[in-house]
Amino acid sequence: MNLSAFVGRWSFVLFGVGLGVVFAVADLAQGVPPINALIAFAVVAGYGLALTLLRSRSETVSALAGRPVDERWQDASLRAVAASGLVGAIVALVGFVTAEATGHDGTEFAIVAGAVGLAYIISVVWFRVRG
Amino acid sequence: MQNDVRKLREDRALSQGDLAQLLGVSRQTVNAIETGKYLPSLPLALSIGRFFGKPVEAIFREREDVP
Repeated sequence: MNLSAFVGRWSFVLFGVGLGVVFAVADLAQGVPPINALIAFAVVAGYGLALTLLRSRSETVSALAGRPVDERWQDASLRAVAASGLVGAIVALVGFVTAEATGHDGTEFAIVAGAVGLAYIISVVWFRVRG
Repeated sequence: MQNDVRKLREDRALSQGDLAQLLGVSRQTVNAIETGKYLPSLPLALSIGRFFGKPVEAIFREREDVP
């Protein structure tokens, strides 16, 4: 197996391990007990490993691992991404309003909501140009 | 939309899995097409038409109860 095939096959695991390391390092930097940082790493890395190992057994798992088996699953995956984005935007907006209404700083929620909105606008323009 | 995929498949004594393999999609996708839950893309519809030797519009059509 050459390097690109290896990376292609295990990319989700590598991404999970990388993200897990980031989470664990962030936890350790905040003074979180090492066992908690290890659990954070194990959850994220384990999720990537589990999806990769099980994706050949289930079309649903394969789609969750970012490898839809055909156009219907690809369509379902795209709609799931859209739904997730919508939920994220709603949570960010509700979080911002709630934070502001209760006297807290809603800047972080505003940044997320702004990023989602901006990404949507750019995407619409991009796909209009791309056809 | 409604279609004759199930009838055409059964006429050829193919299982959903057989047809799925021939078309390069999953068995669940063939089932979803047959039951009208999923409308295939134009390339896949053309592949289905080519496989059964019929034009796409002879296999897929609008539902008759829709005005």
